[in-house]
Amino acid sequence: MLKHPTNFAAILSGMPQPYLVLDAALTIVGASKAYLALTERSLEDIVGRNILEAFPENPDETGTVEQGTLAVSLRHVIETGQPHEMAVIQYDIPQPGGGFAQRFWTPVHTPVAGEDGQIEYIIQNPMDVTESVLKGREADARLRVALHAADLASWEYEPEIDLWRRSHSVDEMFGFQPGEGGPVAAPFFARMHPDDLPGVMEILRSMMECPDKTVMTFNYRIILPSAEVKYVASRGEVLRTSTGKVRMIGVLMDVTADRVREAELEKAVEAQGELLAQKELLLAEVNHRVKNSLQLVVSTLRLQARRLEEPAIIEAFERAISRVRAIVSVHERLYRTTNSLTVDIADHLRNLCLDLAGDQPERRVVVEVESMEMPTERAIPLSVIVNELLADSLKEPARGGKPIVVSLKHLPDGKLELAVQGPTRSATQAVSQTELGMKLVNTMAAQIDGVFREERTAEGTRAVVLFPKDASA
Amino acid sequence: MILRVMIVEDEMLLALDLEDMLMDAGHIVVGQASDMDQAISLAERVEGKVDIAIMDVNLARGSNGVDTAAALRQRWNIPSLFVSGNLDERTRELASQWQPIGFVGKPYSEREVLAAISAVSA
Repeated sequence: MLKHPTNFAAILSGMPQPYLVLDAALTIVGASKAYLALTERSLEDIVGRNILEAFPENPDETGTVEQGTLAVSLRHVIETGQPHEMAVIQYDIPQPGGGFAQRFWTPVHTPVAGEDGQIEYIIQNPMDVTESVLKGREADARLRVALHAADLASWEYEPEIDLWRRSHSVDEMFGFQPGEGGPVAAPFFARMHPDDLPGVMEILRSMMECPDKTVMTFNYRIILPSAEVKYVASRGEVLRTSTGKVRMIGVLMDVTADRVREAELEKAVEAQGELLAQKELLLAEVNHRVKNSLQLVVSTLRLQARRLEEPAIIEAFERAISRVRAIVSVHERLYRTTNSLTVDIADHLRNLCLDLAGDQPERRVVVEVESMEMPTERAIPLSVIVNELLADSLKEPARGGKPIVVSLKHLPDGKLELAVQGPTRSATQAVSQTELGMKLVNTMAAQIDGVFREERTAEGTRAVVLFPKDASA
Repeated sequence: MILRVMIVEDEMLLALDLEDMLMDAGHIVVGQASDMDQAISLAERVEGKVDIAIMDVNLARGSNGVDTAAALRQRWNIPSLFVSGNLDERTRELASQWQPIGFVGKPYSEREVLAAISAVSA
C-alpha cells in the first residue's frame, strides 16, 4: 500500500490530450480538461450519462449513421477487448446556447480491463480533425459532384466489425428509407441475391487475407422488398490502418438499365437465331419439294417412254428425257455455300456423263474436269451442252476403242474451255435431232457469254465452248 | 441375278417409275408401300422374302423411312436402299446404323438406282 494514495482523478483531469472514460455500460465516468475544452462541455454536464445520450445526434443531420458507427465501435471494443481506431466521423457538438457545432473526429477506443480480465472501462481519444476535413471540403465537394455526375454512390466498409458507412444513394439502391439501414452491413447483405452473396463474401474474405490485393470489383443483384431486382456494379479499394486492420472504400453504380438493355438485346439475338433456323428449315423443305417435283417430271416422262413402240418417237422421247435430266440433275448436286447455291461441277459432270454413257467398256467416256464450284444458272447451260455433245458422240461407232474425252479447264487467259473430243459426226444421224441439238448448244453457249465451235482433228471432232468464268454484270 | 424388291415410296408416280425400271431390268417387285405400317404388312405378307427395300425418307402419314428400314432389318434382315431428296448428314448418320445398301439422291437416274441394286447381287 502506498502511503499517499495517488489521485488518479486529478491525473486524468490533467492529461494533456483529450480523453473520455466510459464504463462498460457506455456511461461517462470522467474526462480530461482537454476533452471538456474540445467539446465545450462541463464534467457535471456529462458524467453519469450514456455517451450516446450526452452527445446526441444532430437532428439536422438525421439519416447520418455517425452515432451508430460510434456505438458499433464501442461495442466491438467491449466484445473483443481490442482497441479500435475509427475512420473520420462527423459528430456535432451541442452548443450551450442551443444548436450544434459541426465537428469531425477520428476517435480511438482503448479498452481497460479490470483485475478479473473483464473490460471495465473504455478510454476514448478523439482527435479533432475538423480543420483538415473542412480544408478537404472542396476536394470532397468535387468528388461528390463527380460521383453524382457518374451516378455513383460511395461506401466504406470495415469487415471486421461489419461497420458500413455510405452515401444516401446506397440506401436508396437497397430500398432503405433514411436511417432505416442502420450502421452495419448485415441488413444490406440480407438484400443481396442469394446466388450472388457467396461470391461477394468470397471477394471480401480474399481481400482480407491477401495483403497484396488492393482493388476489388463486385457485380451483384439486390432484391428489393417489392421483389424488384436491381443490378449493381461496385469497385473498391482496400486501405489498411497502422494496426493492419482492413478498411475498404468504394463506389457503387446501379446498372439495372444496362442489364435490361443487354437482356433485350440478348432476346433479340435469340429471336433472330430462331428466325434463321426457321429459314434454314423452310429452305431445306423447299429444296426437298423441288427435287421431288423434278423427279416426278422425269418419272412421268419415263413411264410414257417405256410404253412407246415407234423407234423414231422412242428416240425423240429419250432425247427429251435426257435433256430434262441434264437440267434437273443439277438440283441433286446443289449445295449451299454461305450466300448462294452452287454445284461441284466436276462431280456433277462426271455423274451426268456416267448416266448418259452407262458403264459399257466400248463406250468409254473420260471426264477431265477441274474441281470448281459453279452457280446453278451456269451449271444448267453447261449440263445441256454436255448432254447434247455427248449424246451425239455416243451415237457414232467407237473408233479403235478410243474414249470420248469430256474436259473443262481454265485457260491461261482466264477463260474456261469445255471440250468434247469424239468421233466425227456421220451423216447417219437424224438431221432434225442434230439440228435441234446444235441450236441448243449455241443458245446455251450464248447464255453463258460463250462461243461454240467445232474443230476437225485427225482423231475426229473436238467440240469446244469458250466462256468466261463469271457471269457478266 | 433376279432380286425380289419392295418399294417404300409414298409418291405413287415415282413408285410406278421405279417398278417399271426394276421390272425392265428383270427384277421382281413384290409390292409397294406408302408408309411404315404398309411396309411391315407387306413384308409379313411375303414372309420376309425380300432381297431389298427401296426406301424414301419422308413417308406418308408422318412415318419415317429410317424407322421403317430399322424394322425391316431387325425383323427380316431386309436391307434398304435409300432413295430420297432428303439425305442430309443427320439422316445418313441415323440410317447408317441399319447397314443400308446405299443412298441415292433425287432426282435419281436409272443407272444410279440399278447400279446400287446390282451391288447386292454381286
